[in-house]
Amino acid sequence: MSRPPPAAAQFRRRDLVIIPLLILATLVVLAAAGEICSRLIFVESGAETCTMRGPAGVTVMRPNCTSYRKAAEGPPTVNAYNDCGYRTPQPCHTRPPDGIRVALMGTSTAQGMKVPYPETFAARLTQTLTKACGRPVEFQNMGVPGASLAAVYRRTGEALAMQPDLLMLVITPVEMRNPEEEFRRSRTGPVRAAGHPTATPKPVAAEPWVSRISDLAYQSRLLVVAQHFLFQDRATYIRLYMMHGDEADYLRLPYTHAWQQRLHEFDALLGDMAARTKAAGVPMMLVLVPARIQAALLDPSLRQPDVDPFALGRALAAIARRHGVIFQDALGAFTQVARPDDMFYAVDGHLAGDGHRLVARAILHRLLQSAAPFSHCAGARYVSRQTAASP
Amino acid sequence: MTIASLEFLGFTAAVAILYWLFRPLWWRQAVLLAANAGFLATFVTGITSILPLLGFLAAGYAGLRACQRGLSRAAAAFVLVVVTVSFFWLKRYSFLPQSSFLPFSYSVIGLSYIFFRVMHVIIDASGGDLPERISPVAYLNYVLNFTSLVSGPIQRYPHYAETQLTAERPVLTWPMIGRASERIALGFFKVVVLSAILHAVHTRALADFAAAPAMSGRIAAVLTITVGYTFYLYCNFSGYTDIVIGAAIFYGLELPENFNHPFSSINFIEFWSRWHITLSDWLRTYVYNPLTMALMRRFPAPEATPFLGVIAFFVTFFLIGLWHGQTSEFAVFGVVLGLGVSVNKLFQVGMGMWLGRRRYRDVSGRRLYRAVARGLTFAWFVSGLVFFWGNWAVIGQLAHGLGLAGGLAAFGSLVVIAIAVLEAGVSLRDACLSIRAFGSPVLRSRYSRTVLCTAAGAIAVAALLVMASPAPDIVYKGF
Repeated sequence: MSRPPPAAAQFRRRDLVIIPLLILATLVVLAAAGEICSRLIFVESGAETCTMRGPAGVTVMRPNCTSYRKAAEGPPTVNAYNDCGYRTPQPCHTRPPDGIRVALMGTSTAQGMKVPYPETFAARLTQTLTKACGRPVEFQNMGVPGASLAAVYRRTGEALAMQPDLLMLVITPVEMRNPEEEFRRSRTGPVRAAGHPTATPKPVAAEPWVSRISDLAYQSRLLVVAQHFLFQDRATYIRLYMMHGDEADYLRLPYTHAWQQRLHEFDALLGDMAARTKAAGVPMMLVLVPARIQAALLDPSLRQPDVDPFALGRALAAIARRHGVIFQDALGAFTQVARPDDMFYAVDGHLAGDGHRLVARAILHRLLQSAAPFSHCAGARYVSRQTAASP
Repeated sequence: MTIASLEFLGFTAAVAILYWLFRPLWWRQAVLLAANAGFLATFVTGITSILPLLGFLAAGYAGLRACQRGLSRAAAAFVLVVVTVSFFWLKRYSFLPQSSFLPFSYSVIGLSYIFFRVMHVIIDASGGDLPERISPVAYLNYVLNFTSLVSGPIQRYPHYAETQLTAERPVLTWPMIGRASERIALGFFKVVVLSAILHAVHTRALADFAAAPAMSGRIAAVLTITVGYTFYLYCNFSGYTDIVIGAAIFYGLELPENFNHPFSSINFIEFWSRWHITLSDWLRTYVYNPLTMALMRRFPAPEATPFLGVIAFFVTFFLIGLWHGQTSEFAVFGVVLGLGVSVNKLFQVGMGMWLGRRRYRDVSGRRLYRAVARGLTFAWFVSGLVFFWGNWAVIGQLAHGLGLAGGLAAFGSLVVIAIAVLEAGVSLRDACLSIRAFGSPVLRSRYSRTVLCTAAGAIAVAALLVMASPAPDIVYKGF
């Protein structure tokens, strides 16, 4: 094996062409084989076929529709939408007598994208709270993957029309990253769908060949698999993520002007929603679900100076307090597990089933402590028992 | 700096570019000195931590120059003893009083291999075989050569000087670049991919052994543990050697080979001429041969000569075992190696006397004999390696789990499997190499090698980039 190869044939001039071509051909064949293997192992199939244009001019889910989807990193999921187009088994047009209804607003994380329904925090909370309260509790899940915060805001009226006992807005730092003008336009102007981190925005003004190559790379399952393994290393993941400028600035202190502006605009948006829910006599709760990078940064040995994964939560808590909105930063629940970043799909960035469990635990704790519809449900002992065990 | 890393490749590329920038010898020597110092610096934490190693190098050079000026035999022997004791002392061997050791931590990276090079130049100089004055820069570049600092191979000074200390610059041709790239790609694949997988197999099997309820399960686990580790060690060490041999070619240095299909060996003596070749060669030259000569002078009877070889073999290979580490496990490893070669030699002597040399040669050439002998050689090496990788706690756990009957059954199974698998492997290799085109085996053609090594290199780089944990470090770095 280690013997030098026999000096068989004389090196020929044509080898200067043949050998590079052979190298190139080998790499192409390897890449193709890798792509095929990746597609066989990290299967991705199905699509969200239930989207439609809603009355407020935003994308919503089609009522009584079911879609099937298998994401590369996640298990197969069935997304069944009820008579209002919400990912909830309970119907929305009929309300159980004596039941508690929560209108859950948000985007893909709220909807439980790429997670089987029973594993979503909404389903877990439904089950646990029904037991704790001794009456039916339902979460009408209005979450729409890819929606912008502005689009979510525009469905406030639809949510209140359900006469919920609580309106819960679930956001992630991804939604907060939307350009600030999104907030400004949100109450009047047109609304566009916001991309999730995985849904890389396509360069609009790119040259066709650049666009084609970028599309090809984006669609490559081999790259997804490569990233999947690369991002298992927490230090590498943090290093690569923190290379982002503005996208990662919500983790860096002090906040940049752009992020201060975003928080300012969000303040206005939440204030408006809070005023409307207050007028309707419905309490409101804001939940911040962390991004994978925040969970990774919980590792103190990898924390960089001036980087604080809790900073956004603190800023949103202050805003929520000003408007009388109950607030929960779910990041706290992630401090209780050994590898919090494993609670997310590494490349995709969405919460996995275990991540939903932690989020459910954090929300349950806050609901039983602070939310009026649930205050009678159980005493402090129940809360402590439930927060110690998963819901 | 890790050898199987992209940083090392970048470092080698930078050194090669600077090396070929100008023609004069002083420039090439200066580049290599800076490269060697820079590479060594990546392993040290401060000036203090490198001082003991620098002291050892200075003592070695002083001894070398003294021997070149013509020391008496006794004085030269004293120099060798001083260097040897310094080596044991710096390596903190347990037979030396602990209170004598330096009270701070320091780097001993590559010290074992530096020791071999220093001993070689001193012995050869005292014997008059290195008459040319060796300059301090040439000495440092030779003993600290960054490609072979960490774990060899052990190159002899005249061979090194042939290409590195001539006024004429060594040549670098396209075929040489191709060959170097192939070696590096193959080495990376062995270290980053194969040895990582085999290490994981070995580790998992160790955990499985404790959990296995049935004896058959424990035997299967122990076979996986031992064979897995053997192939892991081979891929790790020979992969490292491939990388450094390839890297050295880029500045015109041809390092000696360290491996040559060791598992196709049909006896334990042959095995050691195919495994860690440069170490075996060094010990044969500086331990086995002088010891045999000394014994022959002491016991001059011709009928005793073959048996003196048996003794010399045992001593030499016992020292190989001891060299690997400072603990008692390595002493037992040395005994196992010594027994392997000495019993092998004794068997050869006995068979030669019983059958006659010619008949013995005929018998040992038969396919069945070769297959059985290959399997036994492999099984002995695999079993001996337990004392190389395991501590007494692990060895005790294995022994307790297997018992005497289980241990014998495991060894028997290992022999039978090794006979069958290695014979199949050798036959497959022969069959592959029998496919020929234009007078040479297709698998060894430049184009086949390009395809295979490109694939190996690409897979290794991909693994290096996306692996959550780094590739296992070079095992021999610790020696």
